[in-house]
Amino acid sequence: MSTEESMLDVYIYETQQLLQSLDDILLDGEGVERLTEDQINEVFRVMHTIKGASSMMEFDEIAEIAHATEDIFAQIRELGAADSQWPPVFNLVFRVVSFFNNELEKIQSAGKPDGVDVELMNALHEQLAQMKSGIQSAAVPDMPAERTVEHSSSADPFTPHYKIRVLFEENCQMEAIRALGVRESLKEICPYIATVPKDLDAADSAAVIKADGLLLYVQTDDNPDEIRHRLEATLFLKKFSVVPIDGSDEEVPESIRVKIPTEPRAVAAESPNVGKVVIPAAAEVKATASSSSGAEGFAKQNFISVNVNKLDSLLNMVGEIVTAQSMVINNADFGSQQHDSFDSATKQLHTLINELQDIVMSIRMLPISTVFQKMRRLVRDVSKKVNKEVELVLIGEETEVDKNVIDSLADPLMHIIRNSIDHGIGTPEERIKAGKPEKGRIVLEARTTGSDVIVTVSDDGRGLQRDMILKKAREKGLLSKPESELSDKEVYSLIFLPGFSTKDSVTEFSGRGVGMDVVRRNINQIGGSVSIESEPGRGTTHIIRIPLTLTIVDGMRFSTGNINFIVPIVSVKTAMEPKPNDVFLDPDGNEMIMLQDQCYSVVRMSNLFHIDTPVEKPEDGMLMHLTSEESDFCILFDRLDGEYQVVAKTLPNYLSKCVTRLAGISGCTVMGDGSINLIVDVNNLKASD
Amino acid sequence: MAKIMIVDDAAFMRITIKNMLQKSEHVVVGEAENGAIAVEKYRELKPDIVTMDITMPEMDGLAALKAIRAQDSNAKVIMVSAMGQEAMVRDAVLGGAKGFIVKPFKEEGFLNAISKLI
Amino acid sequence: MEVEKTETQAEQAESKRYLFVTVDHVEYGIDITIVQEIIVIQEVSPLPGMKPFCKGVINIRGMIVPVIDLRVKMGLQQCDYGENACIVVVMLGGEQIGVIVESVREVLQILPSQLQESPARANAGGKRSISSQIANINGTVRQILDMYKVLDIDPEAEQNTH
Repeated sequence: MSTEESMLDVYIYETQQLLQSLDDILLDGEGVERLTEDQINEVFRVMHTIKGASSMMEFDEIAEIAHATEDIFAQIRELGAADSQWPPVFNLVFRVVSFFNNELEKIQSAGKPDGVDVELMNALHEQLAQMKSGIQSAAVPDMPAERTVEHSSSADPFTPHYKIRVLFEENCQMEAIRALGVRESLKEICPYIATVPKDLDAADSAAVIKADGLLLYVQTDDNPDEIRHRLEATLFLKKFSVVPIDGSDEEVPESIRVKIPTEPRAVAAESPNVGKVVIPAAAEVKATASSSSGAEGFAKQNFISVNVNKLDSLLNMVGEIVTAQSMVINNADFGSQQHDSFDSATKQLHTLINELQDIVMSIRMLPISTVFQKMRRLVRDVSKKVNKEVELVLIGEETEVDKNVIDSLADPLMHIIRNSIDHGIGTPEERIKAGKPEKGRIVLEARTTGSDVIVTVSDDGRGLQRDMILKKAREKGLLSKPESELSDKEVYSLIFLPGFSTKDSVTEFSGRGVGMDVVRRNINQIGGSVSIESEPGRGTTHIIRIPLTLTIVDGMRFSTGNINFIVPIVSVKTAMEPKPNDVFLDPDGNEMIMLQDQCYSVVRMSNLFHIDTPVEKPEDGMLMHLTSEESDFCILFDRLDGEYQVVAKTLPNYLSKCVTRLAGISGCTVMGDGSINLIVDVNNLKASD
Repeated sequence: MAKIMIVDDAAFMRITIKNMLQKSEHVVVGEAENGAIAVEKYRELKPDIVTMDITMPEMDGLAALKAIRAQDSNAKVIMVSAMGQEAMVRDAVLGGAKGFIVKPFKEEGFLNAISKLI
Repeated sequence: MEVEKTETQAEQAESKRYLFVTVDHVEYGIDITIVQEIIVIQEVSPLPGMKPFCKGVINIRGMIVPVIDLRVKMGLQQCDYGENACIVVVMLGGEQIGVIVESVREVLQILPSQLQESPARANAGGKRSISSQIANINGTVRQILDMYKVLDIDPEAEQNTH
């Protein structure tokens, strides 16, 4: 990757992160209609950073808008904001964030931004102007109010020995401060310095220095080469000259033929603190850092960002290690002798490498919250646009999921939620009439089962309208069966047909693709499925099921014969040792058991999977009460091993040719000892082959 | 050939500056994302030059400058500033910064500035 | 693995390399482009209801790979493997499959001129035989295995991901 590309990548990534954290702050704050001091500082910092980076990348429009927003927050930081000013400020910043996000997209696809939002810029300037005019207290001056006394016209005269002329480079910025820097660096060897322009802190001095350069008249006992040495080390200094002069030379301006005492260096420390900076003793540094207030934001998290390519390399490297390991173990040089200590060492090595492997693969896992949090912003924007009040509830954000899945879920979820708000949830009036709370509710939940992740989006809105769907399908010629023959479920699945697409699908929020058919396709592409359930008047639930190559499952390990299984704990109700006669036969000869006055069928793992086992009588084995989507039942097996957290993997397709039964197995996992155990898919366990 | 430590809370700036330096004969010996870490690392790494961003969380560039100069009076720190930060840059210059560079800047200007300090 | 060089440069450009393994003391060649790696015999995790030729699955750097006993798949009696046995991992139809062989011999570069249609093929009556070609190198004849046929994989089948 070329340097330019990687810089662009970092720019895009970091800016996105900053904008995401900004969104979070704003959403929190908007609720209470103001921001805390920390949040204000954070917004300021984000805008400042974006401004700096964007200007470095020459994305000037972005830099300017960031600057304008930064100015507003600088104002708020110093002088606060009135209650009435917060709502417009929030709106403005949300607009700015949207603008930035749009430009970032353009940068990602076309390599550069091209948006110019004059209206937004004006609005920002206006807001700032309004806020400034409304405040009575003295504006913060650019230069600190209490200036350290640097020249005093009533000081005693001194005899200058050298005249120094300094010219700074064009456009080096802040010339007056650079001049100050020059004077600072000469102070050590020149007890007396006078400058032209006389007052470096004056508002116009920068312009004068830019045009005419800086003059210094100095007195020193040191070798003038010292002066030259220091000038050479001055940044952005284009040229200089150091010329000895006669103190009584007419050239020396009358007005500065005065002794100007240079203040002792200690005074420099007196400069007023800008902001809450504390200068800690070296030893205290760490304590200060850790006790500082928790400003929200990206910098605070305990994460680092890692390039996915590096992860792949790491994974490959681990693979190489495994191969090398087997080469060591099977080195022909060893012959066939026994090497006990070598063997145990290699076993240890093997275990460690397996662990390393699992860890590296788990690094690709991300909590699904990264996708879920995006939805918060979406809900806010869409509900505002259509004038409905909607609350978003997130459950299972911590569910970890492979990066690929995260990338593929975002668009479908956005579409579904948008639909829910647009069509599912009614207006506040409608809802009240229907006896529902004014605020609509969308519940976004993620959970794992076996090696699937199930994401559901439920709203408490109108539910799918059978008639309306049929009408639309009819209009679009999508019906293949007579309407009366269609079950509700079949009617609902009509919306997945290409060509159906919902009415407001092309809103300003949808970038690409319309309709549930695209949603279905996107999800199918990652091997998943989506279905819909609905109750007219009560609400609609979309269920997305994605089989993953990598999920972490909390499971209960058990065995039958020589086969080890893991069943996800979420599906386990209880486990027990059956007593003799607990298990009985029903009239059809099926084994059953009574648990808490309920009758459950008993499925023997040994029968289901044709496994040889010495366990004959139920009381010699163990029973687990499992719950599935369809029904509850019990399984009978040999031994229970314990709870394990495992990384689920899919079984290779080829196995369907190798074993007589795979139904009921959703995947497998590699255990700490290197053995591979099967993960039970409770929903399909009882399915016949 | 100088040893340089880059201090900036934005990964973007750190990478940008690092890239500029990689094309020179100087070596980047470390990075820090806030002033507190910078002060710690300065102690360990003893770089010849430090590029110091002004606005950072935890501890800003100004405080870090002063802490580093307190540790080592010969420390050479260049402030990296944005337009509009005159007051803080002024304080930094008075506080012992050897100079400053204003964003946005280009590689040539930056490398010239660095070479002046060695 | 030593590569025996044969004939001229031009011909070499057209030659393909084959990994030669033994099954029941007979040498067979496998197109090296499908061979991913060769690993030592290791503990295989069993699966329920395995057909006789399937020994179970193993874990290779995170990939779950089925292990097939090539002897049995080729219709021979199962027997204990000697100390030279190893697993040859091939990639077919987008998946990795491990086959247990008695031993691994060498890699040979074979020119098109040295390959002939296997007589067995002609007899198969249209059905593909597991050995589609034979290699005749200086009088020594060895069979080349058609791994797709050996493992019952349709080469045209789409690569499926779960």
